[in-house]
Amino acid sequence: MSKRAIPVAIALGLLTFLVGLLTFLGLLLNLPQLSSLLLRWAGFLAAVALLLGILNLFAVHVGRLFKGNIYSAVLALSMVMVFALAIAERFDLVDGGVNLVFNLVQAPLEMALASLLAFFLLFSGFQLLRRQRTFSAVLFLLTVVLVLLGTVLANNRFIPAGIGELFAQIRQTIDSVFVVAGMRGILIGVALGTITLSIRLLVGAERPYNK
Amino acid sequence: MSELAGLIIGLILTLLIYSYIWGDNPLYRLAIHMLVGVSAAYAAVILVTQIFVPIYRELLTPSGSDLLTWIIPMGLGLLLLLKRLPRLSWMGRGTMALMIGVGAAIALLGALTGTLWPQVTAVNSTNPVLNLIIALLTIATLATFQFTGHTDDHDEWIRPWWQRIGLAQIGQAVIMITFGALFAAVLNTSLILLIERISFFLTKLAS
Repeated sequence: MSKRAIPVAIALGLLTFLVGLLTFLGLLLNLPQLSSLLLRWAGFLAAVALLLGILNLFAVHVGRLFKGNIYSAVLALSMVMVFALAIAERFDLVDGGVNLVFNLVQAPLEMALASLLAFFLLFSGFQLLRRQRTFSAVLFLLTVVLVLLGTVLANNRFIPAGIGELFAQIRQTIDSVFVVAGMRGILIGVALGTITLSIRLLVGAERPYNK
Repeated sequence: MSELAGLIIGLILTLLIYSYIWGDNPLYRLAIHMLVGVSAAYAAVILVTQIFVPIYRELLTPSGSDLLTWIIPMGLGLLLLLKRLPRLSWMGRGTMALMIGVGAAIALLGALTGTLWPQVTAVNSTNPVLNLIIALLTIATLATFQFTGHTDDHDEWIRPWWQRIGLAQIGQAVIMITFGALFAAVLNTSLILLIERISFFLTKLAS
């Protein structure tokens, strides 16, 4: 580390700690004058960072477009189209152009991708059974089958009522005991990890802003 | 006419995405790049119209925010631009430090009051035995996340005692059951979406 870098690192660490402490106290002690100002600043800066990221994405793909990448051309053109529509909307040249693109292009693509997830999940389930026949994998797939049967057979008029009720009861037990306990354990684990990382960031043990 | 055009565009885009069922192909990649482009640009438009334009309007009104309160974040925002330049990129670190400080404080408070405390104190059932079982299984799940231990005099790896008595193994089984149930729920949802998509196009094309 150079001589100049040390005071800069200390100053940045102090800035992170002070800003974090003020935000924490402002929110904890309900001091909106303090917390809302810092939150608005951070929100604004996050928006600037996101906008710069999007413009960087555009610049990178325009660069690739000139090297003959057809996919980058599609991406850049899609962005230009939305930006052009937004500007046209701003000057009242078109009405609802950006929303039209959202409804015609983004929404169908997102829904198609989400529904394609069914194929990916089924495929990965079979792959798991083929490659890893451990106790955990079997337990995982057994739960999947039981939960799906519990969903499909409940109130199904093509099978005897007793069988449907049995599978619904199994599913209910899995949901109300094991899933509650598992999710709670995972959430508590995530919260403990978040607390640890936040404290490490605030005291300067982690310094991602130096990169 | 516009509804028919929208339907045809939607159908074509959906088929481009579904072409992935036969493996990665140029049509699928085309659709994905289009999705990324439209989503990113849409996000940029929303950012400008919902965040920057209201701030600008607020600054123009006499009773609005003081310009001085926005000079610091605007200056810090401009410094972020310098991160693109290798020699001046260090000047953007202050902005990053501010965002990380505020973000860490929010995450810390959120994790404490929004997740940890509610999850520790939450009681789901009126049956105390069931609550006890859930609490024990939660502890077992948490025991699985212990990845550290210590070594003895012969440099032999020793796991914590709660992992040696099988608590972590029970926790691992609980996690597998949880993931299985979540997997089934996601599979169910995506199947419903798939059926909805197919029936939407079939109904629209038939009418």
